[in-house]
Amino acid sequence: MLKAFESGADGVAIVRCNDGTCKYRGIAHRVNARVDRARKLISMLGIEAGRIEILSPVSGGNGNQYADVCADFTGRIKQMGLRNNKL
Amino acid sequence: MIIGSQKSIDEIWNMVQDFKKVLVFGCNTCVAICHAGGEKEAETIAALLRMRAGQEGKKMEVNHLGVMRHCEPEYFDPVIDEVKKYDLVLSTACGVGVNFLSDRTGNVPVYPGLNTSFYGAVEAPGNFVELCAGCGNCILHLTGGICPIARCSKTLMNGPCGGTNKGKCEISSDVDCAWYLIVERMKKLGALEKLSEIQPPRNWSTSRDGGPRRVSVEHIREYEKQEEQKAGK
Ligand code: SF4
Ligand code: SF4
Repeated sequence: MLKAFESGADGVAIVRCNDGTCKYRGIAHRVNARVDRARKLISMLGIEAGRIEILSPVSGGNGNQYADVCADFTGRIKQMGLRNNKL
Repeated sequence: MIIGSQKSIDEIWNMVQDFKKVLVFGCNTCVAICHAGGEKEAETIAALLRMRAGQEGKKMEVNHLGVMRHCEPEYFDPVIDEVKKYDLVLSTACGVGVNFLSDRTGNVPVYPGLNTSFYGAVEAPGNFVELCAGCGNCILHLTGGICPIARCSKTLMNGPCGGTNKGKCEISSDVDCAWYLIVERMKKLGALEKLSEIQPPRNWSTSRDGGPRRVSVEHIREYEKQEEQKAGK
């Protein structure tokens, strides 16, 4: 996640399965914890925590729905504007 | 093991901002277990410093590296020449590692990336508790395995103070009273009467008050000397 921001990303989407639909057990809270940590870390640099989002389409195999959540995310980041403190 | 916690990125930045080539050097033993200073954390700090340098318009090369321990030469010797190529080493080892490494990096300064806190154990994932203060004269056999030096806020040696309150210490209701724990434990062990033995004032010279401490294991030192003689050193 940090690497993406270091490379100049304006937002980072972490895409994981919906709670309860993943074939790996108990993965959601681990992903959430890592994302929370990364949000805190970027905040320390003055980058808005909201620039990292977790997206959870019902299934990665469902192309349309996957495209929709990604498009929504891009819209939200565009609304936030470009990061003004890029490298 | 030794427990530490990371310094804030602002504090670290203030220390390192005037250097051009910085190595964030992780230690993969104790401080990796408490998620403060292992190679993974070193990598994260390095990324944050690179971004911060970019934000501040400073030209700075920041890399990371990790070895198993900073407190034993055999672990960092293989990379010491690489380490010495930097202007500054930000060590995320405990204070022991920073001291030890600092003596061995020639002109390159070694700064601390962590605040070293205590000797502790993993109570639960992410929770670390202080259990020993390294006093140099252990009396845990007299106190049911519960250390009154590290775990009683007043380091009392002969029973609780008047502030003990329903198992909690008077400094905070979140802190267990060590002497309450000791009494309960000794009851369970059927050894409560042992506590009526009065502990005389302690000789703290085995602890911090006796100056820097050193332990030499004679048979190992003897063996090493013989090896050195054989090698003609
Ligand atoms: S009595 Fe001393 S050595 Fe033993 S646990 Fe307590 S501080 Fe550590
Ligand atoms: S309340 Fe218990 S732990 Fe706290 S200072 Fe008194 S004896 Fe020590």
